[in-house]
Amino acid sequence: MKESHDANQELTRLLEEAAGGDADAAGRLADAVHAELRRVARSYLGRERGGPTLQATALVHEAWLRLFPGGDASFENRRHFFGSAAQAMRRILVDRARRRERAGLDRGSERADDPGITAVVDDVAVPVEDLLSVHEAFDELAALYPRKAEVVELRYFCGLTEPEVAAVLGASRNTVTRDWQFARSWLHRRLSDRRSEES
Amino acid sequence: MSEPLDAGQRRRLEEVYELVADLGPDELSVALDAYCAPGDPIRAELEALLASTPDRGFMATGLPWATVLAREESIPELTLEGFELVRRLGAGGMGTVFEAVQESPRRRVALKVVRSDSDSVELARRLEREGEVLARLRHPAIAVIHASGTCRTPLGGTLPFLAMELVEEAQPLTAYAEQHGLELAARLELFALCCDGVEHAHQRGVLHRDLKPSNLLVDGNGLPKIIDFGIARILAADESPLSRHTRTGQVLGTPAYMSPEQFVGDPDAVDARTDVYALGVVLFELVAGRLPYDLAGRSLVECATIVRQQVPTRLSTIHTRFRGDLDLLVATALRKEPELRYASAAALAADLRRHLRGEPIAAQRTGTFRQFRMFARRHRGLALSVAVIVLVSVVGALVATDFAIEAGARSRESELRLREVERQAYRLGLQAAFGGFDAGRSTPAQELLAATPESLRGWECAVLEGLQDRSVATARVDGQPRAAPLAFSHDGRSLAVARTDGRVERRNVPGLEVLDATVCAPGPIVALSYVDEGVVAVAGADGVVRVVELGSGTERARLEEPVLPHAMAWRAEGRELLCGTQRSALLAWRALDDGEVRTVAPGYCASIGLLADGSGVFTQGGVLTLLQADDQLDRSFPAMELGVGAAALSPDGRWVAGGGAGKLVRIHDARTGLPVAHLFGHSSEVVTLAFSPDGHCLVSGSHDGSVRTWDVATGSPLATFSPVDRESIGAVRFSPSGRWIAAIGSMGRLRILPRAAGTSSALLTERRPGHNTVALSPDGSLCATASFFAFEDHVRLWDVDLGEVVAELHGHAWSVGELEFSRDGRWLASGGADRTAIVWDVARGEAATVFEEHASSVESIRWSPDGTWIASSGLAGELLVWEAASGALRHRIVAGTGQQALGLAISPSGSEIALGFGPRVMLYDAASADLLAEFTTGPGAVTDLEFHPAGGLLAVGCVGEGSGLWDWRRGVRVHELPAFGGRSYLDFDPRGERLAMTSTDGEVWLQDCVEWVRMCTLGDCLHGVCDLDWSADGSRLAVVERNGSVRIWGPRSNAERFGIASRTEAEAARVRSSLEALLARGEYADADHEVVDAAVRRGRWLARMRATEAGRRQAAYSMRLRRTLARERASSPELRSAVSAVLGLAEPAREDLERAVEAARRDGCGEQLRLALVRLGVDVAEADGLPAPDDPALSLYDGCAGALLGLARDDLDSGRAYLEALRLLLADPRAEVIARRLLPLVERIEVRFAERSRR
Repeated sequence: MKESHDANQELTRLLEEAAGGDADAAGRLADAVHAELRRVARSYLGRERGGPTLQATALVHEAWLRLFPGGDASFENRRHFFGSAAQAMRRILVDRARRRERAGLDRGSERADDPGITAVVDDVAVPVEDLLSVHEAFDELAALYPRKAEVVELRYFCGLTEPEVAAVLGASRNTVTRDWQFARSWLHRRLSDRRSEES
Repeated sequence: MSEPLDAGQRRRLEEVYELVADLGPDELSVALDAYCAPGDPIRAELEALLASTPDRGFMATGLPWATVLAREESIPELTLEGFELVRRLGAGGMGTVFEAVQESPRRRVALKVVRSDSDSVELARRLEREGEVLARLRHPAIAVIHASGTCRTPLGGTLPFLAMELVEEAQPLTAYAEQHGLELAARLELFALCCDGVEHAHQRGVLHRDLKPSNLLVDGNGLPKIIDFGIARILAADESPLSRHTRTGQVLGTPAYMSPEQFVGDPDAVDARTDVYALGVVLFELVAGRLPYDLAGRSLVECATIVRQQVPTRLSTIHTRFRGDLDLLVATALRKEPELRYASAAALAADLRRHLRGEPIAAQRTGTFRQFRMFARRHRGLALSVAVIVLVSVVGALVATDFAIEAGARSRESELRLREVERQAYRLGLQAAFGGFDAGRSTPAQELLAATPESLRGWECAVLEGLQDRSVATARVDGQPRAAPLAFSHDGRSLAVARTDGRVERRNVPGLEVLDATVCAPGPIVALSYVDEGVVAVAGADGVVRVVELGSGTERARLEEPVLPHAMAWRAEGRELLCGTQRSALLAWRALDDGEVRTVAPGYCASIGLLADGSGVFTQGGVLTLLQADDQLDRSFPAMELGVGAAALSPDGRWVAGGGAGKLVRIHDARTGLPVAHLFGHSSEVVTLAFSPDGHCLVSGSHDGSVRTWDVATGSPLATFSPVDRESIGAVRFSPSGRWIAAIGSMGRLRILPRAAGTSSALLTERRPGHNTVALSPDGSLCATASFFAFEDHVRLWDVDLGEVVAELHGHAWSVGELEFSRDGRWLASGGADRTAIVWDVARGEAATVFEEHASSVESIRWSPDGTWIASSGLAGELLVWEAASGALRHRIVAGTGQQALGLAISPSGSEIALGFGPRVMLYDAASADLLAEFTTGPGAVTDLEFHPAGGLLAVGCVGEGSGLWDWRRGVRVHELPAFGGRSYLDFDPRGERLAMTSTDGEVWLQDCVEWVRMCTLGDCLHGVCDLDWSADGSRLAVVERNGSVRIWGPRSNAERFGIASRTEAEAARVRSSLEALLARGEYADADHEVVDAAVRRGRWLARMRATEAGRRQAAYSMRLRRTLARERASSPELRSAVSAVLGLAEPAREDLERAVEAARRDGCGEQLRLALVRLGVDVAEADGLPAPDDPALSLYDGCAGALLGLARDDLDSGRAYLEALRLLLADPRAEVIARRLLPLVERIEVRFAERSRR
């Protein structure tokens, strides 16, 4: 009990330091979040509850609850935690996509590596194809329009709903909707530009 | 990409994007011209962005994260005895599927490791039980189940699994057909084979319940294999589909293939025809390449609504080659009513094969008229869409034409049929108009109604006209593509509204004519606030805030912070401007002093509401926050749900209203932060809120385009102003007088709305206590109410048009439960729990006759038609007939014992009296008191009785089965009414053409007495209904809601109501005017000005008495107790001594009270006494000087009393409502002292409820 309390304190400290701009703390926090996300995901798969289609938002919330059982809901901390989680999620996705690409796997959907089983895979497909290009375009977006990128990170990579994003960012729902619309349009345009460049 | 933009350009791009993103193409070009100079580099970028429209799937969220994160590790983690895992085939809603090799017998299998939310032990048991049945299914089209059981996971959990036949090269049916380019005939043949497999399982009593293409596989040989038979049931044996879905947040069964009865979640409703339905959907998809309903992106609830109500797409509308039998065949499988579908998969397959052979199929066409009727039946009680109205009128016209053609041959019959169609159209039009009223969609329905014959249009049509939304004035603000900021001047005579071109217009109120227009900013204005008469602050889209004199255009101050304020409010007597900004913070700017700017709070602020002292409320990052006058933020205010974008503070500072993305508006107590009311009604985000200056009324505006007003005291909806042209509302403001509401829409439509309009003609409300019983005077102008549950011992008389109490009638010693006006309106009879009935002189407000012969609480009271005598019944079953003038008893009739007498009615001729006694109705001769007839309606108690004005028939409302119209002489039910679990109330209009009736859940509707069909639903009272009364002239209908508000429906137009006095005028003046109105109507010929003056004096006296009500009550309590004690004749000595002890004490302590209550409980006879004691507790508390009358402590006592009363009267529903309220109240910190005292009592009441519920 005491141990977990200490761990919690440690995490809260990391969170505060990261929020204060400490890059090292931010990195360690992201690692902790990443590890916790994996733990949550695995336990969901391994046991009866939840399951493979568990939404990112549920994962992240669960990780938040596990890491900060006291429910430290200070506005800045919450915002920073979700930011870290979003980055962790993005990193996981991108690493995974890169690995697959290096392994020479088809840049198609999940279904493609096991042909013939789509029947029993119920609507579960990770659009790996888009992922790397989205990631690259996302970096550009982040450089030009950081606030939009933050929304994309939370909404797309972290799976939060619009009201949740609004709450995390302390922005209005309308602003988030508009930012998301802007970012999608921007990314879409960027991606189609690139595609036409390539061809 | 074009030239890169620099940082400044990007910032402007973002801002302008926000302003124009939602505009249509026409407005867009205008707006872009307004915002971008020619050659502006951001314009091209903007246009490109707006033109880039990614499809819905692009960056769709909801990636299967757990799989992504854990997939690589998951195979080695799983070991299963007896199986070798080869590879993962995939994961689905039900679990993960692996290819595996079974060791003995050695074969390749598909191993499904099942995930479930339910208890795995129970699941495993079900798997075992059902697995055996499943294993017996042997059909070439069904994948065989080899084994089932549970396996262990490395983490120590157990997972149920199923091993089944591995389908090689499997593909879903639809995908297979596409990929192989199958012809239509080949598709149908393949599908018929699937039907054979389904039929085989059905024959063995196994339903699939989750048929869809991904469960209908086709193997490498092109043969169908159905998988997952019966799995859906194993996984969800005890859950309804809705709960299953909402709980997991995932769709297990796919809504597109779910039948209407599956959405209902009734397991008994699911049978073979459910699978037939799913097969029908798959067949549709297989043939047409799409689904019969467009369910993409819908929530499950929406899917349920669509599947249960919408007509599915006809195959023939997709391609003409599907016309004819195939169209009919698919439509038959897709019928919403299971009994109209194919009875089995075999029947479907047989018809398919007939079709393939070119033979006629068995499915029958349904007649258009029959379809229309079924359609009408299904939609009864729902708000109909415009499409329905069109359909109705078209069908009506068609039928009419048909008959016109046949007119020569059968004119009489066709005439009758035409009338029937007309009446049907009228009723549907009514339903649609009332149903659509709240949603602002009643206009087309009203047009339809206007087309029906005038002879059909009755009272309800007049009510509808009275409900019409009437804007007093409407104007279009030019050059204003987005919602404009607006503000009333301090004197309320003008309204300032901002335009995109930077001008601020002043318009007069209420006419909305332009007075002047002043250039205040170079570009669009995003926020506007009055500083002083003629001086405004405007925030421009250029990020500059200016203070400008209207008229001259002189700029008094400017703030050039890079901010884009969306909300502004002045405080400190106009010296400081609070700016809520889009990005960063809430800023305070001393605009007219030293220009200093400071940050009050971080976070996006969309809305500010301030009081004169500078304190207020604002939204901070989507959360309501209180601001104190010294800029301190009150963090103690609990954060409600996020995403609140609109906030308002009532002028007295007591209530905070917040609304936002959640569509509902909440009113919070500003001191505690606890929500006191939840206002439901808007169908989209709430964007703007304002309190009326008197604090009684809250107005809300929403993206759904409607403006709604709400009664702050009760949370009841007052009025809905419908959307116009789908224009969403940008801002609403109350005029300083509180009489007008200004609303502006997103397209610049500015409206002045009268606050006094409403969804019913009037709403009578008080903060508390609520009313429970109601009577309308014969002309509908006066309304008498009393509050039984709140133990008010007096009757209140309201002037309906004023919406005000004009008199209180004191005389009863205990709660008043029943009221009725005499036919001439001069007298009002009341009956109370004090076993007393009183006849009141309405004009004088005094008791004329006091009748004390009852042996139990007076439950019902009725006037004879000639007004000379009165029949009253007591709860215990005694029926007394007495002279109204003298109180002399004519008859005492005892209906029996052991039951409660609840309903009472006197026939129109005055010769018969009907009494409800338990489940029986007894008919007595009024003159001789002989029993004329007796019949039993059903198992449940009779709760309300009403003679049809023509006599002979008696409307009976009762608990459960038995309600309806009865021929009382023969004891036969002529017409049925629906059965409800609780009390229902009914009343005829004076002509007997319609019966108003309420259901337990609060629906109020009119029953057409000619055809005995439901005519229309007037409204839904969310809180349930306690009583209703139709005025004797039929002009008005009063309905009491359980929350205490009285709703009055009547044809009086709103225009007439605008002219009436507002609440702000002096009480004496109101009494005078209302009495003068009474005099003017000539009803009181003998009255003179002395009477009026006396009434005014009485009004003043009442006002004074109200001020010292607590004192008066305290003086009265011992008298009440003594009276009650004297009446409880059977009470035990123990009880007597306990009560005497209480009475003997100057300040009884809690223990004394409790002892007395306990004694009363043991005594078993003392319902009233117990209540008296509880009430005494209130008085004691008041004597302690603890609570003010509207404090939660008082509510606590009333809650206890109400719950006890619920128990005593066997009305568990209402009792439970009180109990729930109690639990909330106990948590209220302000009632802490009392709560501690009462907790044991509440706990005891809860135990009693639990016991009673079990019984």
